[in-house]
Amino acid sequence: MTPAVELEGVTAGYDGYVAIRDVTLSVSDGEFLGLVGPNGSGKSTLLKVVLGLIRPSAGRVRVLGTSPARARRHVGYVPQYAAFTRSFPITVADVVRSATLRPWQPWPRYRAEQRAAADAAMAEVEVDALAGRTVDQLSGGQLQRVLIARALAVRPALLLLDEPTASVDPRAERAFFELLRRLNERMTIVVVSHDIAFVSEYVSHVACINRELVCHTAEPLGPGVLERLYGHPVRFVDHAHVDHVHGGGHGVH
Amino acid sequence: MAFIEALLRQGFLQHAAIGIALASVASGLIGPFVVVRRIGYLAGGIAHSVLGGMGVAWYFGASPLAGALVAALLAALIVGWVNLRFRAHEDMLISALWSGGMAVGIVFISQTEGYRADLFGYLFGNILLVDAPTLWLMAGLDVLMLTVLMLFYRQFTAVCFDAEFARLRGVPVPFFHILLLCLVAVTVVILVQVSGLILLIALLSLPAATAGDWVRSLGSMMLLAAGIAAGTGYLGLALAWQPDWPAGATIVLTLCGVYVLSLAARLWRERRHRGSERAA
Repeated sequence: MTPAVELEGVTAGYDGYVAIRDVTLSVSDGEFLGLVGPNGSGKSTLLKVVLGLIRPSAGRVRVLGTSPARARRHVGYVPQYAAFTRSFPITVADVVRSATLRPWQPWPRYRAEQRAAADAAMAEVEVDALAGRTVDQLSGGQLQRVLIARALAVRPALLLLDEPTASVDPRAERAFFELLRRLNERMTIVVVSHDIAFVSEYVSHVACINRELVCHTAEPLGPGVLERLYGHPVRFVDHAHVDHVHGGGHGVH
Repeated sequence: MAFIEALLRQGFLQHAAIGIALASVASGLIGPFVVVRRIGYLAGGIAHSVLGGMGVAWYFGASPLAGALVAALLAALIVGWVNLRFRAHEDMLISALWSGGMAVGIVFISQTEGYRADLFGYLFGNILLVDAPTLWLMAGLDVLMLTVLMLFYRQFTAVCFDAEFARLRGVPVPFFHILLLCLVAVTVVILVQVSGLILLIALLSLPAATAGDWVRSLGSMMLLAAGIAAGTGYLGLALAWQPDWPAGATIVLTLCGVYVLSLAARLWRERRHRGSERAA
């Protein structure tokens, strides 16, 4: 089966800065990959290479068996920070519908099938009741779900999420990963996160990056891998997620 | 009352009233995009550089408005290119375009005999001198803008709201960004008739900024902004009539007053809302 994402010896960056170097990584179809690494390790750059937003200076990238630009139609993306101003006068429904917009589609009204795709995506992540609200009326967790609904409205085969829980509370964070686990039943997911231990509770594989690929494994993360990742000895420390359902959340110190 | 009587009798006042209506449509259509995309400075650069086109047109005996239109569109292309390619130096490059364009205009006008009185009109506006051909030109440009916006409203909204996501969906973001700046350029040429190029940024942005305090969609913002531009335009014209004040400046002052009142009302409303939340 064709891998969902294939990177071979990819080097990429921006403004003369090399953010990732010689990265070779393969994400199988149906995989739920956690991409972890310290701040500035090139995680977001790697996602943007997969999205075709950054062109690598060396190496080869294939997404869903084709070039990133061609694959975009089937890729859903949830950015790390909302790139828009929260005061923008736009409703949740219109944010989600914007994912179905065709590049040169004339006329302001969306077609019935576009509205239906957006409605289904909003229902799936339970934001349909917020459809008429504007983005400035949403909490951090609600906005994150709206951005997932926007990504799902394209009916993606591959879902990429960049630090999706950065602005949500621990209760919402756990519910959020449960949602991703459900979505993983029908699509490949790559999630970037700083919370290695928490992510590893949910994902099927973990890839560690610190400019170069440090590890790519289904095995539990050990101190040796983490030391290579962070460049110094690290230890796991329990830090309570407020609403533990099972077990404890962990942090890396 | 004297103003209403004059309006019913005087052709030039009727022309002014039609001109204000046409300018209000342009301001209502484009102003909300300038406000939500926060491109007031880019619009200012385009607006002030049109004096260069007017000056050159005057010097060669062509229509100043045609010169303004060409210069505004050229400035929009340059500003769009700078915005996309040289973001780090954007403010300096646009400042150079802003003052350089005006300087070109002043040099050419200084070498043209007999047209200096008109310069004051184009700098500060003179809606009372607008003639029928100019009104037809304004109406034609309004129709053109309305057509482009009706066709690509969703693309413009997507690019203004989240350009990165729009690019991922295949929307040609640089094309629509530059097309939006070209529409700003066309609006500048329409508004220059009312307020002159020095004051027109107020007419372009303040109706939309005021409307943005009270409505929650871009479409409603357009309608309300056009209404505010027309309302303050007619009120300003009426206020300027009796004491014989400059119409463009009085309209802009009226608009500034409405904007400040709206801002104060919004802040008061937000304070009350926060107070009631704390009480709850």
